[in-house]
Amino acid sequence: MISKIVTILLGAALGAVLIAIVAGLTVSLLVIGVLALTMLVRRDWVPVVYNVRSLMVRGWTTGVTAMGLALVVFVFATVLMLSRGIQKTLASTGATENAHIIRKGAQTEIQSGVQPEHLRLLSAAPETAIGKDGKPLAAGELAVLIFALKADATSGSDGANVLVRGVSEKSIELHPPTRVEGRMFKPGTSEIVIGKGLLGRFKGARLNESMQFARRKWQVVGVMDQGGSGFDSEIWGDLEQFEDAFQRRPSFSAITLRLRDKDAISALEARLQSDPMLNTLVVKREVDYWAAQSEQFATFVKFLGIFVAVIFSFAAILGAMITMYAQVAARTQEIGTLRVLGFRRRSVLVSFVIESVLLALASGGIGLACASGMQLVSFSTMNFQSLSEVSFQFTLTPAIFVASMMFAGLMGYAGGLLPALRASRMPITQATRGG
Amino acid sequence: MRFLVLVVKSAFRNRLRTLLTSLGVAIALVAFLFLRTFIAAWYAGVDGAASDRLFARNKTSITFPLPLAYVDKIKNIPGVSGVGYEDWFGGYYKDPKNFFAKFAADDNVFDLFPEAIVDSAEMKAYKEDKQGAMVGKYLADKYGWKIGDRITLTGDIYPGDWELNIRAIYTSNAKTFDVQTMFFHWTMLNDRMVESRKNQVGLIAIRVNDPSKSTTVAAAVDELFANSPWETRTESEKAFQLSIISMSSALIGAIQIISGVVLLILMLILANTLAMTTRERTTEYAVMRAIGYRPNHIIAFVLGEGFVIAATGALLGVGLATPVLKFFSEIFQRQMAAFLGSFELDPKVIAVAVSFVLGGGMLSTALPAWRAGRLKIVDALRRVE
Repeated sequence: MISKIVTILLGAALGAVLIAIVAGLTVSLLVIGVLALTMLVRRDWVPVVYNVRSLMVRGWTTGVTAMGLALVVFVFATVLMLSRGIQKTLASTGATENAHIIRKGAQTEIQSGVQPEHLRLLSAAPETAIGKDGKPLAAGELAVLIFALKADATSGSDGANVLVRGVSEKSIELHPPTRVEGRMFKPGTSEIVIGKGLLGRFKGARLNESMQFARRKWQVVGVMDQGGSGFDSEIWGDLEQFEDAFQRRPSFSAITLRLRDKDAISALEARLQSDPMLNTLVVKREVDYWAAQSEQFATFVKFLGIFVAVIFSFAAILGAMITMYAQVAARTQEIGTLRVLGFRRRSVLVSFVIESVLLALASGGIGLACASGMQLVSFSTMNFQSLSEVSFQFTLTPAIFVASMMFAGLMGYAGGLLPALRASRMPITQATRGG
Repeated sequence: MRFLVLVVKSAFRNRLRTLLTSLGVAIALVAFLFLRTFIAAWYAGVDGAASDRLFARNKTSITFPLPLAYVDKIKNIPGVSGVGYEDWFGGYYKDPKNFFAKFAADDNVFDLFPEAIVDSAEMKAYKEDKQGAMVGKYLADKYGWKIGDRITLTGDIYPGDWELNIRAIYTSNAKTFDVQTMFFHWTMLNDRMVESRKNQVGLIAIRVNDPSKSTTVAAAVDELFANSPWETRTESEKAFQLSIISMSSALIGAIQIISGVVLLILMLILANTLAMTTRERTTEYAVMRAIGYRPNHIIAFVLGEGFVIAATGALLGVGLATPVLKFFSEIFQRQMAAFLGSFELDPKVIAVAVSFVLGGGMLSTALPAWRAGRLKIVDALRRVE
């Protein structure tokens, strides 16, 4: 009980300190911003080249601090890129013209079961588009998870749940791959196609090799490119074959259909609710279904990453602060000289703040450059919501670029503020004497 | 003794710088502690695995069922001293965000899990009530459940509303045993199943007489059901837990790397500070050398100072760690309750973290210390800073 109280008190104290710091920084930022603007007007800037040269003269300390700052920006940017990549991968899966129907209450297709009767009814619905062959463009799909051993597995426990989707010709037409290296599987056979995100990562997941699951060997005849979406982490095969192998006949997991027009979705929703034969089902646009699948995981990654980045940033700010204090201490005579020449306290203050921010921005640039290199890497892990393995790319967006640079700038500002204040408040006589 | 006094005094000469550096070390320690605790929580299941327990699941994947009939067949395999079964219910309580593990299990489920502690009267009441539920103490505290409460679960894998009566609350002395799970009777689940889904279980737990024979028994189970419509994969509890973790191996790997980076940042800060300090004190070291101190002494001074700053930071960090981790454990418990064990500060983890911090600190001061030791008195005195 006591420990709980102590924890709460400590937590409150910590929270109060943090709030005070943030408030102080914001206020001071505004004040200094105004000061800087007035200086701009009256033209008493200390030349920026002085700051740049000073940084370069003390190369070793500058370098070490820059490395620390760059590292923090790298982590920050990478995490945001991963979170964005997760959302992009899963949110870009499917088409807005497609509707995805699963059983009501199921959180994911894997938990869902729909019957052939449902497919018949929905195919006949007016909201469903008619395909090129004159038949309704609707298809049932079976989605199950298999435990696949990783390619470099040393034991039978080193594997992951991979999503296997039983599809028919119509399904392929509904969400077609952009490219297939090799060819699409032949219906009625034990042939399968794997998404490019799985290539080489699991035993047998290569062109012309075979994967073993559900007591059968399945030949990989193609590797499909689904544009980096969720389908790139799936194995596709013949629906009928999978229904047998996984003993799911006669039910499917989900129904995908092409909407007649974009607005047909609300009519379809109404139909599902009112028809007693269909009201155990629920419909979403295909893209919305996939976006919902990634929500929790993307949030988790973002949260974890930002927490880590914030903690790192405190450390980096301290590092910057230490460096700037040392800079100020070493340059007391220069500061004195500047004051003697006629620069006012505020010019010195702004000058040192700018120096710190410059250092941080340069480090931020380096960190971002390294982070953008991460776009060449793909990250595969289990999505907690769907329990299946998905492959994500790191995606750098202009928003992330700006956010990272601002983060860097803020770190530089926070680190440089107090030392700059000290520099500006040094009495001229003391400064020229050497501090 | 005088040496210690000198080191401490010189460390705190520039109070501001020492304070800032210590703070940096403290923050790095907190971050490191958080990440290591996070990973340890993930592996809690592995650590708590009993050597005499096996788990059998459908070979295709754990999302496929096994026939109930298998349970009796497994009982007859030589070497097996007990069999239990359970089925992952999924679903949620009131709000999908309230996520915790729920299992429909056989009545004697805790026979195979002696780590669980239940009051015998409560257990009896649970067995007698077909709609009874047994919950872990953590859940009972979190949702304010008491014996006799009636609660409703909303199913997803098994749709519909499921009403249960809390009949028993279990705890455990084993730190790694999960007290955040809800159990209810498999018979209740089975009664509501359609014919095609009746008499199926998700996971079969097996206890063996002799832990050294567990691989043989596992192979025997798989052999028994090979080439049947539902093939099994039987493995030790440890292997089973590892297989679940391995699905998130990329994430865990990333976190391990980040915790290494934290240490790196910590070392950079410390090295930076000490480099500055030694540079400022060149004249002093020169004077000390001149009056008779050997290079070893100088190196010891610098290393000692680094140690003092690192130790101050470590102390501060351990103090800060408790509230910070408590705060974040609350948030993460909600998201990932089923995957993580307890997210508590383990003294062992703290000890490891502190030793890493001190070790890293010492390492980072090595270069400045060595350079200070190699100072030529003449050159140092010539430099007036």
